[in-house]
Amino acid sequence: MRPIGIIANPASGKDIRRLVASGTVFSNQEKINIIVRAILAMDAMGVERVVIMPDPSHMAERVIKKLRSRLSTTCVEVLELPYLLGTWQDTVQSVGAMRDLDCASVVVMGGDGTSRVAAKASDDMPLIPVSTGTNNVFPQLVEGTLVGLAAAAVATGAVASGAACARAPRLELSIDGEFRDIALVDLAVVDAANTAARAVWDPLAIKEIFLTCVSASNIGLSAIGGFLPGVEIGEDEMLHVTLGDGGLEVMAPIAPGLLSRLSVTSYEKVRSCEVVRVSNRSAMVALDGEREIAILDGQDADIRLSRRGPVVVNIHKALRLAVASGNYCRDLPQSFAVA
Amino acid sequence: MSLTKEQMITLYTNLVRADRFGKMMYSRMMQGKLIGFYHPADGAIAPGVGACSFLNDDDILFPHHRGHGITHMLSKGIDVQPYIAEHAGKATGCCRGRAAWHYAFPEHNVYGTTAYIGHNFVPVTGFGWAAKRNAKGQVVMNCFGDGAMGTGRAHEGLLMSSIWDLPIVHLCENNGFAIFAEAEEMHPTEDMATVAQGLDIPSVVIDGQDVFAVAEAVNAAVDSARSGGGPTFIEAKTLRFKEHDIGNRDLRGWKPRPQEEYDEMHKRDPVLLATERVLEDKILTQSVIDKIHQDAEAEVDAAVQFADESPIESPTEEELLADVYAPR
Repeated sequence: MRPIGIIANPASGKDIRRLVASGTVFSNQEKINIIVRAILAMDAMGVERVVIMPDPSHMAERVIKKLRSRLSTTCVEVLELPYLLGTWQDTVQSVGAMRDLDCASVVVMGGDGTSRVAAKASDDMPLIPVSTGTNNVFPQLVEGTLVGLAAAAVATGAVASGAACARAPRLELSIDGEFRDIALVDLAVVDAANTAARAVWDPLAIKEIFLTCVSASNIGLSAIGGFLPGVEIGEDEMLHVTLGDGGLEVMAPIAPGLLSRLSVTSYEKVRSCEVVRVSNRSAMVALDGEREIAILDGQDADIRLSRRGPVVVNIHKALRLAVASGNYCRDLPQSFAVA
Repeated sequence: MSLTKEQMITLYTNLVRADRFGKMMYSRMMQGKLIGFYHPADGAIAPGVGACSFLNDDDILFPHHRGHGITHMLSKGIDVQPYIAEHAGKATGCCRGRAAWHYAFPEHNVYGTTAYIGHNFVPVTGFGWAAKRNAKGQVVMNCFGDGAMGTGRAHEGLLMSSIWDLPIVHLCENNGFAIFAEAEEMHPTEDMATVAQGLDIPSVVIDGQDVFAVAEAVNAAVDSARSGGGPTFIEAKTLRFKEHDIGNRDLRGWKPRPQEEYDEMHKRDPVLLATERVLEDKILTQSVIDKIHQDAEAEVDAAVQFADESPIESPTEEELLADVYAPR
């Protein structure tokens, strides 16, 4: 049986948006508790091996300590890495190592930013993004026990991986023709001189946004598109929104408790075959809500939508299929047979 | 929202100055030219610089004991010459050479550092109460480490700052160590911010090696406190490159810290990270950076010369007793 990987970002759910907005601190204790509940569910379904990313907070070791003598079939290990930096590179390195171990899926606990980093290295290995961040459009807000059951359903073959998974889109950033990075939900061009605390929280600094999804139930920068009346995009489209003086005033929740009034001067749907050149020069690019890359004077930044994003397990669908196949019933009578 | 280019240059300059002063203090302590103890701040200078570079003159500062508060105090604008002279026991010191490293610069509203870990929470609460009553928009900057979070005074101070809605920014400079004891052995949670959150204080965890990240978070917290938003708690995860204090071995628990640990830590040297950032973002050129380093070196040399050339005070008995609380 293929193993299951677990990535838990120790830094998620703790950034400046607890000060400038009303975000909740997501403690590592609670992340540990979620992992424990997920692994207990995996164990109940006969999963044989789970590997957890190491981190400077030793969350993986604490999970193992909490699970001591509570597991019957599952062996839980801390992933061995040659070095640990305490940065996002640990996640990239771990996802790569889990891919090498041929993991059936990787549970990724964090916000949109954590999922983005995991997606850089996941290739075709399915991810199960679980919300423990601030703005959580990409991750799913699901109880840990159910996360474990969904991961187990895929790993044990109770549900065919292809039936529960779909490939997500991604936004690709190139500067001067060279590919630089990706975003899964939103890519924003902001008027800032530095990355500093990373999170984008000043609405006046936002100049342009590119979105892979538009929904009124989103929180974060993608809500700006989601709160524009009558705007919908198809699977093969992104939304390009430009902000500035004298536009349509739109109120949107750009962070928990932070409802901002923004002036939208234009928006357009852009198909995946098209490339949009960023009109603002000397700005900072924020990927999934975090300032990451500077566009310097004289540089050309291009954005395009790509269908080469990560493969994602739909937890609800995986569970529905597992239930339908009688996975959780012992000696299922014929009268309960389902299609 | 984020920092201006000018603010970034101020932060970078103060970071380099703090680094140079820290290295000079270590060297002079080893040479026997300072009195008292010295607790090096190497590796952990970004929180103090980021937190204190944009405070107002009338804001109140209780600096961290590491580096004997030089990172915090020079960023707030104190004159470093009487600082060094004080640590050398000279008459030109800010406390006339009698305080060693328990400095006070009341004219800059800098009080402490105290000899008791966590003790700052008591006067900080009082200053916070006074600042609220005065209603002049003053903010109290309370700097401490993870070790302080194990004291009752810290918990009481946090509680009172919360229930009384005091304009205090609590800055926890968490380097993972209390002398030799690892934080994970001393606390049930690695994030001290969760303790403050439990007391309904808005709390964040930030990268304490990134001076720009510290400054942006602290600026937001100060703005909140100044406008009546009450206390905040900022946990800056930082590193300790050297031993707890000069003369002690650098142990993790009972064992020396391995060389690999130092090697890894130094990849996150705050000056190194800030230099990469200002170059990459075209905030400074290499020649300007070189000039900042030269100026810092000259400032340190001048301060050392001032301390060396200053006299040692020979007070009369009457003068000695003039500055104590309970004269005979």
